[in-house]
Amino acid sequence: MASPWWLVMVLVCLTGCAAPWTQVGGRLAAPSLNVEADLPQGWMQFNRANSEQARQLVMGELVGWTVADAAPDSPLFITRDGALLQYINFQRLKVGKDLEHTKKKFAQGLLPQEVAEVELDEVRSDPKVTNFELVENVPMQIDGRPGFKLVYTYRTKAGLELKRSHYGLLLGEWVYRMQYQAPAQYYFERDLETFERVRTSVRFNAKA
Amino acid sequence: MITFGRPEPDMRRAFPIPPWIQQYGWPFIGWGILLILMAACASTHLTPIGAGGQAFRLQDDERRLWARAQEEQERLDKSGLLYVDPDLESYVNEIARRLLPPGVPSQDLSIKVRILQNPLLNAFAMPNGTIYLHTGLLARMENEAQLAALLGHEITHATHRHSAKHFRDVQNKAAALSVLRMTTAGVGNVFGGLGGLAGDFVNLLGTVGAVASIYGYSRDLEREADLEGFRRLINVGYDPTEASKLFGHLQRKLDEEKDTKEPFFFGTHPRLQERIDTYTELLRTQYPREAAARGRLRNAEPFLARTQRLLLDNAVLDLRIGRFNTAKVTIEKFLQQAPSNPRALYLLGEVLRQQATSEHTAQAVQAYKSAMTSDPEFADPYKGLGLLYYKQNQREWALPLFERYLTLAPEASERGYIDAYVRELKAGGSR
Repeated sequence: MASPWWLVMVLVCLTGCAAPWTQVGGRLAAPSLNVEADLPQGWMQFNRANSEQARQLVMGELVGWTVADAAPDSPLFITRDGALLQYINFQRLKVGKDLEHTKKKFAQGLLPQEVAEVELDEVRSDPKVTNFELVENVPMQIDGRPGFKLVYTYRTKAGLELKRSHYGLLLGEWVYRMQYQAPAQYYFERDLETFERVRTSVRFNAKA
Repeated sequence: MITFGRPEPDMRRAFPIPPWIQQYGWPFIGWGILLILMAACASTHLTPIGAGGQAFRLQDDERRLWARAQEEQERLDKSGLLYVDPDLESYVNEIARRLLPPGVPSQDLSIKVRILQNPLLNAFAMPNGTIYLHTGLLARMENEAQLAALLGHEITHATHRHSAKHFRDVQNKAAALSVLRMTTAGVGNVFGGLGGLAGDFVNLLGTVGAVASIYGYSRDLEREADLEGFRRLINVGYDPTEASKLFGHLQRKLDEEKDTKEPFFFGTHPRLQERIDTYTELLRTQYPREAAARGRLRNAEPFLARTQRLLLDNAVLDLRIGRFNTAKVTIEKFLQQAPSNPRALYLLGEVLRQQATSEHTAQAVQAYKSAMTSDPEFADPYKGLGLLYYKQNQREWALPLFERYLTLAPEASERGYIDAYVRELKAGGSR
């Protein structure tokens, strides 16, 4: 009786221990997102194959993180030291799709300013966000296309002050998000330049 | 094959069943379980604070509930979610003070009312007497008597120690469940079961009270809060018919607005119906004279004057979460009192513009123009109307509005966008 039982347990353990993160670096081509970008060396990418495990392991109460299991709008999520210390997140959302915290929706024909407003409302309506402060809201070209840049700070329920740089644009039927988030003290400034390098390297495919 | 419940022969050798169990068998265990249950059951009978002139002493579990409430309060106070309006806060607290039963010593229970910036229908009392009201609930009230009805209900939760009662009730049920689990889990699981039980109780402390205060108590406790709150409402001189009107009004609002599912106690149909039923019955059976009396306090005017600013601030929150109808209704309520208020007219324009239908767009233009007429120096309507025209490619109308906006609000956070539109429009571009 004992042998097959323990064998099953060992197999279950081995499956569960697979790493949820893989190293990234160099040029990323993400056909599912219609986007390419240069990723920093030494950062780790969230491995969707273990999404459930990784979600429990690192997501915690991070705001704005929606694990999109459907392939077309799955996010690229990378970090160097762990998601609580910094992350860069690429994501795209289909126009008309329900958002998590506001009933407003993205619609075709919205100005970048209006897309930014919906994004801000989505963050500010999140009950886990407290002490929200908008630092910057400006128009920004992203790969030569009109978009926006938001910078804001907020606190988690546990009191940690986080700062987020959030770029976005509406392309066809998709809203693209590029976000960098880290604790406001020390960590945000430390990796901001890396994020800006990634952000300026972003190229959207012609069909995007 | 793996079997559960009955120890395998090897297990019987490892954990021998004591001879006294073998001799007296399961009846003995049954009595043991009953004794454990009785020991675990804490009394849910707690005297209301100040009742019969008795000195109030916190019990151990209650002290922990209060400490947990204090932690929650500190977090809320630092969250930036408190609605800051000293006049309104002192007004609301004054009403609460009047509703507090005379026998409750202030050193035992200090009632404080705080307002949270939240458009959802909710109010809750912490066990230590701090009451939180959401702006969304205040925005839907019509007069002071309705506010008093709600405060009377919440104050009773605190004076009658409902958090502690509820906690003990849940604790007792959890103990019963755990003992039940022990009986079905077999001898080998008894110690594991006790360990888990202790852990569950630790987890329950501090969480149950807070959760109950937000999501509501048992039907009996809520009814007691209705009853006592109602009595206080009448003693202070308010019109008792306003209590059922408030909850009926909230029910109708829920039906009309249908924007978002309300997750809290005062936003659910059955709970509102329970309140209406209780108050209607009380009026019919115990207070028919007070129900028919004229001249009892409603105080609509002072209430509406004090909550005027809150209406618009709450409409902004509703707009933010995309509840366009709710925001519009609230702004229109405000405009009934101050029909030419430029901020209200501008916000109405925003609600209509963001709904983005041709019918709404025409109304938005009108609202923005009215706001400009009311206060030509108020910048925001120029931006709103400018955006509307810009999106309609009406360049010659959009440009002067944007320029006016930039003149009036040189430090505006969205200046970058408007600057870009102005440059584009001056260069002869169009969308």
